Amino acid sequence: MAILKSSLETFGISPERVWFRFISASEGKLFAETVTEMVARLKELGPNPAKKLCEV
Amino acid sequence: MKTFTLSTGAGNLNNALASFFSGLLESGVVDALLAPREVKSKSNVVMTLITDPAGLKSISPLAPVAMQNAARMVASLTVTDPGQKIGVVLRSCETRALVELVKLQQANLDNLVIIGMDCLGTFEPLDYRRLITGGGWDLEQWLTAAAGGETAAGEYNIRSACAMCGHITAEHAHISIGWAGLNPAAELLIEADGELAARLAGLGLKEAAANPGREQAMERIRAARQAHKEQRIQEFAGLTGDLSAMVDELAGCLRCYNCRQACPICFCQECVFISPVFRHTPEDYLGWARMKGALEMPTDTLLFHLTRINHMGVSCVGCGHCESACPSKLPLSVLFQVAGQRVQDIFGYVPGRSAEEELPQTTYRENELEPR
Repeated sequence: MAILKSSLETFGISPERVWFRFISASEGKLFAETVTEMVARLKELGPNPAKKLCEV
Repeated sequence: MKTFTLSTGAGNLNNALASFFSGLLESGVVDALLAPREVKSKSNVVMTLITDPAGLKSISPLAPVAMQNAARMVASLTVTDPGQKIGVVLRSCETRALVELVKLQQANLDNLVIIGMDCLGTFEPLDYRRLITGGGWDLEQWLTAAAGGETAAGEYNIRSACAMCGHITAEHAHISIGWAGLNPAAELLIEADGELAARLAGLGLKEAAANPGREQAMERIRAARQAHKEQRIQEFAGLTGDLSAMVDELAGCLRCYNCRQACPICFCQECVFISPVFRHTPEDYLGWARMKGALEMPTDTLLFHLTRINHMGVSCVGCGHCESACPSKLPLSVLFQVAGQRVQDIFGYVPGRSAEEELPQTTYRENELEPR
């Protein structure tokens, strides 16, 4: 994870766009909450700037 | 550690090395030897696996050219048990890449006698060819100047990755061949340990005294290289972290995959970039173009380089063969220095330092992102 986040930073892509959490199969509620939280954060960040450039 | 002298004498450097290696083969220290050897026209030097001492005649291990990082060839020779002792004549970037390949389970050190040689840089293969064919090239003369840090030859100089590299002596060597800070036209330094040292003494090598001048010269060269590296990184730092600047910098990428092919660490048999994931349909391309209004082709260039940094950054030994192989001469060696250093710093990891050290990507660390 640290490697991926660092590589993204080098290229100017916010590492906040990648989340890594450990959630047990029995923690359905926590899973749902985490996803909701992530979606909310991503909406704040807006679309990935790489998308706007001429290539993906 | 025992130190010996190998007398060379003007015009006789490669002959002296050939007779030393011949002794290693004949006395059974090694059964086969992988060493750089001149091709017939002398315009190139390629790694050659030699079993008959007669094949040593045209070796030129210290010639400042390397077509590829030889760690890959050593991996091919040791990935399964070769059943024989193989001597491999390598530079620092090659021994360090080899150690990374061992950790990635692509190579094995068990049957190897690593013969490490000092390296003060290699020329781009094409430049080397031009130096040879242009006439006036004298290996011993170049080595004598390079031993003091002067590496330029006419209008050419060593590769950009080499100019940033302070790894003069080859790490992990069982036998070391030294010439930096010395006068290689007169003598070379041979170092070995324990039983191997006794066998070398049996080959008629003379024991030598320590040479403090050599250490001082190497320190001076290392300091100059480090300063140059910091300057290159400083120049490049403005680009990193700026997505559109990075896209611009990488725009010359042809997606030829030469960098991937030349990289000693990039070992996957099947690369995701030649898999169906990246085989797009005409509808895909037209769809993206419509979405954005314009689509640069070939596509996925940014993702390709991001993936290479992500996969290889940790283990990058800075050999710069990616950049040498790049037809567009993208500044890959400095990009990998910057990106590699970042991840290596997070884990306190130095690629090529030790075969026992764990690879960061195979080791779970709960706190790898802290403190950040």
